[in-house]
Amino acid sequence: MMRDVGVILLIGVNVLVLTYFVVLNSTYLFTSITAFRSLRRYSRRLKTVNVVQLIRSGAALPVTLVAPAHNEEATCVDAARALLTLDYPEYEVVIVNDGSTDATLERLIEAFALEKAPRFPSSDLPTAPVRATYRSPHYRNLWVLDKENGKKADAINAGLNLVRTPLFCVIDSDSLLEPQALMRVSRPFLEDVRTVAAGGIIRIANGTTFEKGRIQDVRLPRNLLARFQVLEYLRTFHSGRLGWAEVNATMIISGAFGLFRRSVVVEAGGFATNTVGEDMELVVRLHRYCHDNGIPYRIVYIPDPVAWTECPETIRTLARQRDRWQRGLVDTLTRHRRMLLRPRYGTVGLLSYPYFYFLEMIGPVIEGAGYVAFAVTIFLGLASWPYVAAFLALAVVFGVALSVAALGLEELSFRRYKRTGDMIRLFWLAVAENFGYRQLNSWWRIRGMWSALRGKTAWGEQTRKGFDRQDSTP
Amino acid sequence: METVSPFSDRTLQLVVLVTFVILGCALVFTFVAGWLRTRNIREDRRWTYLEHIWEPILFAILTGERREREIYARVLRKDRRRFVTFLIRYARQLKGVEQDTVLRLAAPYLEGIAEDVRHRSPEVRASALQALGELSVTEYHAEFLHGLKDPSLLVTMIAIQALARHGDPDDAKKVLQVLDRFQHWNIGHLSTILASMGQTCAPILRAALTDSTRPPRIRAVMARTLASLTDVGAADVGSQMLQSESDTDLVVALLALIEKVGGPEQLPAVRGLLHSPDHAVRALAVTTLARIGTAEDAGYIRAALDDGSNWVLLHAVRGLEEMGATNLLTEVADSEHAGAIAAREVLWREQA
Repeated sequence: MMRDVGVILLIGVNVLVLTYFVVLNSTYLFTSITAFRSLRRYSRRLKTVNVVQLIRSGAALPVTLVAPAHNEEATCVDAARALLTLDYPEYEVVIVNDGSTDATLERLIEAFALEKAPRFPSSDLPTAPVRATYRSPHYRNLWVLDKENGKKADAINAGLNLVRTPLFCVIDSDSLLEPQALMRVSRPFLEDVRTVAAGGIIRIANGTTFEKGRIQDVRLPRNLLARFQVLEYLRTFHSGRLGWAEVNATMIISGAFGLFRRSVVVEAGGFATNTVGEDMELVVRLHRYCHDNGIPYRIVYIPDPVAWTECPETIRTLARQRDRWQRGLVDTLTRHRRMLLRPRYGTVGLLSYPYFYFLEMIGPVIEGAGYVAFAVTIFLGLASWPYVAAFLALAVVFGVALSVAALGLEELSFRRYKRTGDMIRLFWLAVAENFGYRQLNSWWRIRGMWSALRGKTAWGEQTRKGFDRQDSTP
Repeated sequence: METVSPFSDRTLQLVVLVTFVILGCALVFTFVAGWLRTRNIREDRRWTYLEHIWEPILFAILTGERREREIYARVLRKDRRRFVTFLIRYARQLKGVEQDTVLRLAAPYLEGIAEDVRHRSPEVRASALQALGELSVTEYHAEFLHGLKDPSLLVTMIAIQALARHGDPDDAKKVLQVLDRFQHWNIGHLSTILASMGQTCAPILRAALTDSTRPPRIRAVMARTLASLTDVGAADVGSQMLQSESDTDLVVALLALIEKVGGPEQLPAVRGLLHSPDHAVRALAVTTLARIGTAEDAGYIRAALDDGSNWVLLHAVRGLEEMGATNLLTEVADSEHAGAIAAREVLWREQA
């Protein structure tokens, strides 16, 4: 009797895992195919856009860059310098020192000769107390806001209160924007006033060499974990984000680089301060806000504006990051679950929300259960080996195919990794990541789910090397 | 011992089949990526080689050391489009006689590009028009007029940009006729494009501004363009329209126009908007008053300091600065008034 129940349970888990697997990979395949069409069209269109002329024409909308910084003494000055040398006609930079306990503020004051200067807020989003605002006499468009620690979203809201331009761009202070990135990401706002948010691609900076905040040489990192993340980011952005954007169902704009219409974000209440996934939460809330209030809107992803960011190189920091991402995902999706499968929220409610809810949020648990069921089946000697082998082979081959498709998309469009050796390594990684890295990722996400259920809200520290001190390959 | 499987042998066969299909896809993707890489590398090398050949000859032609036919001899049939792309780069950077030389060099190769204007892909059509627009609007004028009617907004916009740069008033009429298709585009962006038509097109723009059958956003584009062109004649039209129009975009654009070219005659219309329900309109009305107003208007601007909107308050403080009311600003800065920080900011900036 007990044995029968066990067998039925194992069969149930197997069917569930298989269903999950088929739906997940079909979705990936769908987004990859839509991304292919979209990227090909976009690349062709890009040839008709003269970005330099656009910059010179003065048509660009004024933008304020808001860069929250917490204990970023290693990178903040380089990052600020890079932000000040963007090719964009009219922009301000607001760096928000979010109660750093290291020398972030002192480094900025020293590097830019900052002086205390009053600045009247344009909005009154509630934030932790602001201590002072500073301005550079040498760089008239640079402001630094010093405030008590309130976490990232609170820091962005404090910066947002100072924004006077129609658009604002959120960028991590440890990320570097390519010089034309701002012009490129702001184009959708010129071509459609209904655009309320636009995101660009995030690329891994590890391994790439920079000088004075500008890219010198794009290379794969030497660290294996970082290499896996290069591939992962290419897959996420080229196949995932672009695919969802094509059906107007973008759910995430990375907190490391996103451009928003100030008025709509302020009306929607700014960034949520009680979540660790404030970037996704805002985008989902914007969808909801615009739908609920009958505001015509677009949220877009643009594949050519690039922000380079440093990724974790140790298991511990990567685990913490993934744990935090999963907590952010869980929080956002449970917070706005009334959008789930509701036709009034359009493709978001009917396509991307269910995808993120059932496959990205609950998926790792199903996958984890699958691994356990698999182990139990083998341990009890109940395994049907031909099936085990066939499913494993299918899982690996599917994973490889999707990664290779993303590499093809990269080659079709922007080709940042010029060395053929780097591309070959990425192909090899597309196979290798299926044996360990993916399972680790699932485990971290399950832990993240558990942390979310326990109500954990900590961010976790991350150490930075700084861009001009990246590990340059020999 | 019995093995656990909810699936039949047919399922197993299906899984194996799907695995092989996906494996096939993976191999195809790998092959395509590899092929793309090879093609891209070859293309990069070809470009480097051609630039290495063409660039010194082009520079020598520009300085009069060599003749134009010498570069033609180095352009193979298969490299004609590359040569045009190469010349576009210089056409954008150079001015005057040198630019004319580059345009002349491109002329024999443009016929092939013009054929693409009727290609089925909108991106190809757009690309062809873009190239023609950079190198010869006059010669291929008909292609641009055809482009205005193109179903693709991308193609039409490229035609508009080229014709606007050309600056012919006859073209301006045709451009304005198709502009309604772009009513979701940013007003400032469109007005920058139209402003490149120049002052000679101002009467046509004024007529379009007063045409109430057109979408308010497009009329707002006209108002912004006239402001960019500093068309003094549009001020009266603008103030009359302010009394009847209610669309926020249009009213804001009209205020911007009056701010730029208006005078005391327009003041009553502007003052009437100080109590508009829209804060953007109130804010710009304050700024416009500060720019064209009289001493009497300082009182209105002072009153705007008590407006509930931070934007209006900010505009009021800047307005007072513009009117030279430093004493009043100092008084506000030293008080507990909601605008104290704004006043301090303005005063700090003055001192700095």
